[in-house]
Amino acid sequence: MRRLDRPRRHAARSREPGTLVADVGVRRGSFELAAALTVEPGRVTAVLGPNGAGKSTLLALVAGTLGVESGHVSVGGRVLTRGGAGAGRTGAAAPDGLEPAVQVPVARRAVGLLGQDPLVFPHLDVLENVAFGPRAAGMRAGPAHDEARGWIEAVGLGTLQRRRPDELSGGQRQRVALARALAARPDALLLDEPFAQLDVRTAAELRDVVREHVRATRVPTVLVTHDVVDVLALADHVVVLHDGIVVEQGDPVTVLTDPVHPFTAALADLNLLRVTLTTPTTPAAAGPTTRAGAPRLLRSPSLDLTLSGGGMAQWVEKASPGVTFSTHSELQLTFSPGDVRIVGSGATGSAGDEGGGAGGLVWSAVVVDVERGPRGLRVRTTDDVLVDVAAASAVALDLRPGTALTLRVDAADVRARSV
Amino acid sequence: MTPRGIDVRPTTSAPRLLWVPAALAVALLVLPVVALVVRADWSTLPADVTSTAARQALALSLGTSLVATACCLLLGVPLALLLARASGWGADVLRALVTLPLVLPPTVGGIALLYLLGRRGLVGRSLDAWFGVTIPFTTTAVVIAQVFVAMPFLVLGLEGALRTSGTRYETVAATLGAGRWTTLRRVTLPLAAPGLLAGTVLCFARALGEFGATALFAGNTPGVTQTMPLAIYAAFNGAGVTQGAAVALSLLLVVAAVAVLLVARAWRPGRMGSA
Repeated sequence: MRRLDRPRRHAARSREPGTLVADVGVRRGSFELAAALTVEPGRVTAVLGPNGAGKSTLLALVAGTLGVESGHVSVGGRVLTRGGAGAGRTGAAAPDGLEPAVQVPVARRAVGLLGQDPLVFPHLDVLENVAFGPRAAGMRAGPAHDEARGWIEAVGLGTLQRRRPDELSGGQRQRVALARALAARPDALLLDEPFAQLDVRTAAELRDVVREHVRATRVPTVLVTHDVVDVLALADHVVVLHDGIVVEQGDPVTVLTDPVHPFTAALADLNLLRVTLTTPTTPAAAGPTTRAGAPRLLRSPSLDLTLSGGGMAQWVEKASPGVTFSTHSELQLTFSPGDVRIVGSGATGSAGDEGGGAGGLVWSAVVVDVERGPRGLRVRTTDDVLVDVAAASAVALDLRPGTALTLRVDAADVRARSV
Repeated sequence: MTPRGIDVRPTTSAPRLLWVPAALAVALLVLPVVALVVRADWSTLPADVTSTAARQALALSLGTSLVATACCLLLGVPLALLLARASGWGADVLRALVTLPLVLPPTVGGIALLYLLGRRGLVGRSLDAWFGVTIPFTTTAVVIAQVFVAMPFLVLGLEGALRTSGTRYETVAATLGAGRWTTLRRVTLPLAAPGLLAGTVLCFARALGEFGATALFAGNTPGVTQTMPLAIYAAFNGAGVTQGAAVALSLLLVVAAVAVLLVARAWRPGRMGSA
């Protein structure tokens, strides 16, 4: 009779997938995670973040290998985890009337997991691996094998049913793991960098397979990754996690083209500078004067950026409409390393031809180091501003660490936002 | 130009100097058996091996060792499973206690078993008084002595295998909806099968060779407690038989042991999970 109360007997699986909601808080030593996620059926939410940001902890909380101290995890309204009265070991007296703590065991959560390592059972062949979930749910061997064959076909391994894991390539093993996870008919799917160990082409193929089946099964999916390609190829929504909190989220293109957080900027291959506005002499009246009163952007501590060409007020207005900036307001600027130009180097000093028609930012910097870049060389300069230089023009410049440079980026290529 | 005459052995092979101690080790392990074969009186050997005493002792040895191995599996597998997943000082102490029979001389084990299960023993007293059950100097005592000395081989072998295979596959099984028993049956034990097999073979071999604890706790009654090692000892000491008989019985035991090892080697745990 025990099997009857299982949440997911295969016969009873006709219900529409539900929304995954996680709003969790947990403390482990000095690390604290407080994050919220909502993933609708058939959608993929990517969780981005540096190592130690709490991505794995977040997955463990949803998968149920770790309990929460506060908050809850639910799928389609079914509560899988709930902190609160009696939860955790904080010892804080729970107020009366709180709902009791819930921690559904991993085996009954119906949350599938696909990790970096496929962990295909080495003692079972492909068919038995994929049939594992249905068999564990009480299905007889025959129907379970039929079901497994369908999934093996679906991930493109139709001819390999009787192969053993050690006879498969890494990509094939990951496909088996995906088929196995889907065959268990999860209510939610967690992907923990599943493409990280695959070569570029295999990873691309597998991303297609994952996207196709997430859409087809409408299973809400959380994808943890470092890789922008994963995000752009798969995600409907991005959550950036840093030091245990969500620092930004949104649709992938917006987040990656207009990042708020330095980590996201680095991932999106953009420079991110925080600057403070100053107007050295004249009052901050509308029309900026042409000479000494030219408004400047000052970035503390080590860069001095000058806005040339156009008026700063208009530029700021254009970059971030509806926001008026006063002196000393803080701005965050993002721009691509490819849009930065070296307008002077070495002894030639400051820019002579800065007064072109379009507005732009000009500043002096020093070469920190030089490495290979997407267009030739990538030069790291003061305050980690990256500059891409074509290999041919790099020869003319004396790009050694310590070389003084004058850099310019067109105002049109800079995104500004208030902080 | 292809360089010729260059030695292309893989550079990862072991240093040649290791051959000397390795050869000595093989000599030390194999030469005694060779000596046994040389010393054997081949004219009387068939008769010695097929004598009633020999056949009784062999049957008793094989029978008790099999039962003892079964007991070790029944009790030792759960112990190994729990030990492999336990941590903390309590588990360390338990692990040390499990290893104890390995480091104790078997004779000490025999004495200890007598004080536990003997007629006046800690538990034996009650067994005798309440149920009229006496254990020492019975075939049951032989099995208990064998279990005592052989269990650590099974537990330690299996525990090592379980620790090596880790818990990651078990977590995957759980995310696929497998409960604890299903995971144990279809993932944990099959993954540890090589270790379990090796442990079982060692356990059986140790039970087959058990002498000291059996001699003290079970005695030396032909047909009841006289296993092969005891029969060999008795024959060698000239208790009515010749040393030739002892040699013949020893060879029989060697053949039996080698047969068990070969059978275990030949059987590789294969597709166990596809029940």
